[in-house]
Amino acid sequence: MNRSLRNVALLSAAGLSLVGSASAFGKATGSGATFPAIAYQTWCSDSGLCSYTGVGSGSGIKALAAKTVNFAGSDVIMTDAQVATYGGANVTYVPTLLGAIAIPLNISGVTGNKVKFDGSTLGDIFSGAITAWNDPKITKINKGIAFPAAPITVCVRSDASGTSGNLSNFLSKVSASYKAKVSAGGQNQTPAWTAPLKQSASGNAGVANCINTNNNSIGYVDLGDAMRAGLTTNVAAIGQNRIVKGKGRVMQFVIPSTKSIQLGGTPTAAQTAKIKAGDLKIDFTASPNSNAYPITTTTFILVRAGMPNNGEVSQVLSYFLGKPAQSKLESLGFVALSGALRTGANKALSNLG
Amino acid sequence: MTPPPPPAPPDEALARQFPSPLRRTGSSVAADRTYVGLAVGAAVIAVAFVGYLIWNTVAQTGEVWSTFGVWGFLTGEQWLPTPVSGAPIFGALPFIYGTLMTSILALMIAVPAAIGIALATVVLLPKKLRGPIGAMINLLAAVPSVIFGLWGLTVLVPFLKPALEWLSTTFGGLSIFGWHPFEGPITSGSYLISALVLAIMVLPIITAIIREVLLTVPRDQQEAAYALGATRWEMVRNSMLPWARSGIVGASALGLGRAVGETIAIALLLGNSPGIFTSLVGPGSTLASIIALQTGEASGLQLSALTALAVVLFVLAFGINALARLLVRRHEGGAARKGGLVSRAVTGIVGLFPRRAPKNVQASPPLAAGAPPPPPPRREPATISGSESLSRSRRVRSRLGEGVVWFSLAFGMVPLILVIWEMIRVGLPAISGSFFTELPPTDPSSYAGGISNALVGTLILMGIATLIAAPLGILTALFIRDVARPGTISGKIGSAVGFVVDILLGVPSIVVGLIVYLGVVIVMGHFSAWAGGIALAIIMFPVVVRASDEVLQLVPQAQKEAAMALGAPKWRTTLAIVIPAALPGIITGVLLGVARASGETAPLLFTSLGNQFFSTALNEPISAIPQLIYQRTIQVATPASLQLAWGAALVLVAIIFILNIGGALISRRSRTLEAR
Amino acid sequence: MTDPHSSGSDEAVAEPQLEARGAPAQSSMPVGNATLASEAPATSALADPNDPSLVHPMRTLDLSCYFGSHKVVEGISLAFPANTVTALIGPSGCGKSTFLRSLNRMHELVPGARAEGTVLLHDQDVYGKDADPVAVRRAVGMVFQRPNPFPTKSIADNIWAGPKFNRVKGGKAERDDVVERTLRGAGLWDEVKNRLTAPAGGLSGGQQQRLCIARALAVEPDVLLMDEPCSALDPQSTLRIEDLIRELKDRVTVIIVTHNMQQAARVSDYTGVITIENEGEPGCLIETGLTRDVFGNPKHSRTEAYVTGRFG
Ligand SMILES: Nc1ncnc2c1ncn2[C@@H]1O[C@H](COP(=O)(O)OP(=O)(O)OP(=O)(O)O)[C@@H](O)[C@H]1O
Ligand SMILES: [Mg+2]
Repeated sequence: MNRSLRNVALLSAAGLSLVGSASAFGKATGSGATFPAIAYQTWCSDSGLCSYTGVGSGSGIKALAAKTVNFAGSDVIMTDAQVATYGGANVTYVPTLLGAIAIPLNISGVTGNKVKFDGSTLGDIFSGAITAWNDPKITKINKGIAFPAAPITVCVRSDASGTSGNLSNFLSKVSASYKAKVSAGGQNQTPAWTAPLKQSASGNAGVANCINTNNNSIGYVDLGDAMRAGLTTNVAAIGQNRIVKGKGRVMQFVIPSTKSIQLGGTPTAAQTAKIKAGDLKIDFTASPNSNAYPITTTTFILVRAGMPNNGEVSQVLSYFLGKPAQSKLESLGFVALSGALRTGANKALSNLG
Repeated sequence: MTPPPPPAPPDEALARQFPSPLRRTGSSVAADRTYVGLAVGAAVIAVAFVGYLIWNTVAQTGEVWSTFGVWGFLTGEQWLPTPVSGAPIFGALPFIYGTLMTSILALMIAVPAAIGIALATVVLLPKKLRGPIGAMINLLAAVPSVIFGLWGLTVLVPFLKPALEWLSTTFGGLSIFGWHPFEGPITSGSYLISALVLAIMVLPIITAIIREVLLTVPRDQQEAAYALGATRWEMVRNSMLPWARSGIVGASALGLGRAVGETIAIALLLGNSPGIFTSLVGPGSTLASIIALQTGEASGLQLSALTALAVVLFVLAFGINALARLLVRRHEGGAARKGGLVSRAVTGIVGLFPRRAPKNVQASPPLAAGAPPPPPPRREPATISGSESLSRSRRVRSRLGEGVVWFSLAFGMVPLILVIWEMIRVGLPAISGSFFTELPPTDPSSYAGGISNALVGTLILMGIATLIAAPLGILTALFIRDVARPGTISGKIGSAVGFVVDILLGVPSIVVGLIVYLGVVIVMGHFSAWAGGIALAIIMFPVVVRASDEVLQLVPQAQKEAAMALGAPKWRTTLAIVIPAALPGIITGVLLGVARASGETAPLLFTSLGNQFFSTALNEPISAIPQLIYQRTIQVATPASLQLAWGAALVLVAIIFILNIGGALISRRSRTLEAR
Repeated sequence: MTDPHSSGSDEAVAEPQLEARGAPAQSSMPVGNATLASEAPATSALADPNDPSLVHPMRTLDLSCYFGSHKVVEGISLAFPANTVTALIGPSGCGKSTFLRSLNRMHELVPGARAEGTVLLHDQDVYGKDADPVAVRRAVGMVFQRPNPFPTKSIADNIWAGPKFNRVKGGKAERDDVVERTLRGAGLWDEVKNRLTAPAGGLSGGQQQRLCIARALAVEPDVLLMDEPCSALDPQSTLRIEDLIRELKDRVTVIIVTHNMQQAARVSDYTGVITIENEGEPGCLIETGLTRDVFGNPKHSRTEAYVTGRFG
């Protein structure tokens, strides 16, 4: 931590204890998605501008609707029904960071990040179309790996979660069986998992713990939490059929990394146009870029138009989007915004206040 | 010796007019009215508020019943908030099944163990050890659910995994009418481990009641057996157990009532996969755990369905508790006072204000119909010493019986020791001065930071809860015991209030959380310390009422009459005689209530919510120690954050133990005072 | 007011003063049934406690007492002349305590219990519409079978409890005065004057009972009810309390329930006999009159049977 930042932190800590009893007076409060919570909380305590509680996207949106917070964090884009609960209030979506959903594995005798899945196979596992590790569909892609003849334990979230929503969104795009049996599409936060041997756990750590303790299991965890839970030594490379220049359609398998997430979060031409038009609600999953990690996601801060504290919120956001904040992301398992998206976010911010 | 003065002459006697009319000053009457009004008011407010919350909750379930029908919902096997196509489907059956399965399995483990421990602490252990060991088992009851969850997840599951593996490879093929109870593969969340932890958690309350029941076995019953030449074990088998049978059944039912409401430990340990007749080494889900996990994010029909699950859980717990009361009361021979042993056990005051065992009761067990008379002892050669004095088989059987008792004693003691050991091993290094002054680190891999916000949050929540529950509880107890007159309308209201209090004692805490979420959080529009405090107050209230009620009954009638005969108004009698005599007991009751509430996680999940920062604002979400432990366990299970969780657990358990021991000391001191 | 008697133990033989209005009837009352039976001097108009020429601080008219629907005392009309001691005797369970407790409305404290009829206190109806039980109890004191001092309160606080309950405002001087006066009145002063602040629970049973009497006197009642006040005490303490009762007469009207015939004979001026005709029926008053008449010349055969110990 550089000196000035450290001073800010110290000052804010002092400020915190001073205004402790007056609670967060003068500070913006937010709640919502747990996925970016660690980043927001770090930024909030670094800047002393805000407080953030990770309660889940849905609860954050509810709190914003009830005007009990100044901003909400959400991984998902609100449905029309949810928008209606605002009584037509205009909500601005500001993306804050890029992240990824890792697919950690715990398979007897299989280590290293060498297992590969294409979207269809992964969808089959979560929908229960594939139930054993030595299923031909798996072994066909993973030549040379000796899979045990064991049933697959699928670890999923028991609580409603944006992480589930994003994975579900991706799988419903790439797997026919998933689309037919589990979720028809969109960011379904509570997919009706149909894998026969399924274990639900609360929170990312619950899933991480589930994977760690169950042999022959698979799950999905935000990259940052996977890192912290020590699961990044055995994550699946995810592949998609994509057009590669000069080679035509090929299946390229990618594991999550700063680089591959950055690529995953690079808007396509169509998306860039959308951003330029001021719509930042971009879905980055299943990027056509051949080296992109396909389950790349972004997360938003939601602000209601015309709220009295929006001045403070825009201060918070400009800190979040600024360099000191964004440069901290990598250590937390996220990737900074870049390019068109970052420009768009900054523009949305200036329109805010 | 001087003769007494001559009697007053008649006119003088006439002159000594009666000093005042048989009326009282207005202020004295007003004071009495105020006292009665306060007591009635407290009882009515408390009951009305709880009534409102319950009504509000039940009202929320209308959508479910009209969508699926009562029967359709109860027997529905699917829980799909967002199905692939079509409308959401909600059915309660897998959760009812999971709740009953975990609870019954837990009882199958806990009841034999409880009988053993009770026997050990009543007859088998050396006298000196009985008290301390009984107290240790009671301490188990003070360990909060979330800590058992944490322990189960981090210690027990990895430790027992090989055992489950062995079970599934050895008995995997076993089939009972098509149900394969041990079919692999094993998963981290499983019925068996959940049931084991649940068994440890309900053990103390079952033990407490069985102990109390065994203590009522008349001495002459025991002596009769000994006099017939029975060994200690034979005495236990033939005299004590038949006597205690209905009490044991009642205690088990009460344990069941407890088990069905357990939330946090199960949410952490069962794997949350609804299913019916799935493998016991695999996951399941319960009513309480699904409510805990999904309510915060649910809305619309899903929230309504979760509420309906809470209603089902409430009815289940109520039914089981009513049965338990009936059974235990039957054991008490109908002579039980209102509330009786069950309330005392649930309140945790069983060991504190013990009732004396009847010296010599009619020498037949109360359930004479069900209990076979002790068989006459077999004829044995009259050897009185050495190994020949008893037949080999009798000796072996007695040894075996006592062996089982020792084993169950170990079953009760070992987990407690292990949990405390883990708390010290992992948690103690976390504790330093800054542990109490710093916030939890945002970085889950950092070993720095502390739990200042949670500590202060817990204190604030307890403060709110105590300020609400203690006065209301004490006044309600005064209403039931001191103001309401049996045989009149007030007496009827008094027993109705007592009934509501007894129901409240049995309401699972997760249901309290949901009720407050619907009735306070949603109405206020946000999570807050208030909501959390109110939820905890609802948990404390019946404990305070029952404990106070219990000691109010112990205030000697003669003392009250002495004051009344001096012309003391009612309120003065209460203030000057009743309260001082009952005060230590009342304080004990309040401390027990605080102790009970301070370990609760489930009711806070969607009321006070938690707060990453230091907050003392009552209108905002606030952190609490049990909730912090839960968050740390489920969200960022890094070694550093687990260390923080164990450190917090150590602090929490220390607080609860101190409250419990303080309560016990105060009640003991008051008893020695009384004995003087 | 000080007690002219020292608390010497030889006072047991002090002669009881049978007194009524105007001329105190001096007569010795030897102890023992045999003597009692043989000695039966009929006395003047005073033989009738209901004599209208007497002052009656308390009287009952057709008083019946119930526990729920169960009637345990039926239609007792009895007058208690001022500055006399009236003993109530009768077999166990005949309703003496119940009757006594209904005189100061303690009876109704038992759930479901009630009384019918009239109790007059200085011609005011104790059960009247505007009579307040608390005010009644203040004017009609009570001493119970088992001594019941407030055990954790000090001796002095026990005495002062009554005045305090009745919101008598008084400084330390007045308080000390009341404590000393009543303790002297109860013959306890010399024994406890050095430990007035000690808890009352530490006194002996006899001392506790005298403390209770002193405590009752501190509110200056007009009538003092005593329900077997000596039955939990040893003979020595019993005699002291009997002395005390005789002395109390000039201050209060005493009504005492006792099972001890000699005691009734020793302390009381009048005696009322309550018995039950048949099992399960309520207790009735069968005879009343001067104690020596009742004991020496009973009108009713049941009375005779009872006082001579052949019955009850
Ligand atoms: N609380 C009560 N409820 C119902 N009945 C009662 C109650 N107390 C007393 N009784 C009944 O009322 C009757 C009179 O009782 P009471 O105590 O007045 O008798 P007593 O003459 O004082 O007897 P003793 O000489 O033994 O004291 C008895 O039959 C008794 O059983
Ligand atoms: Mg009596």
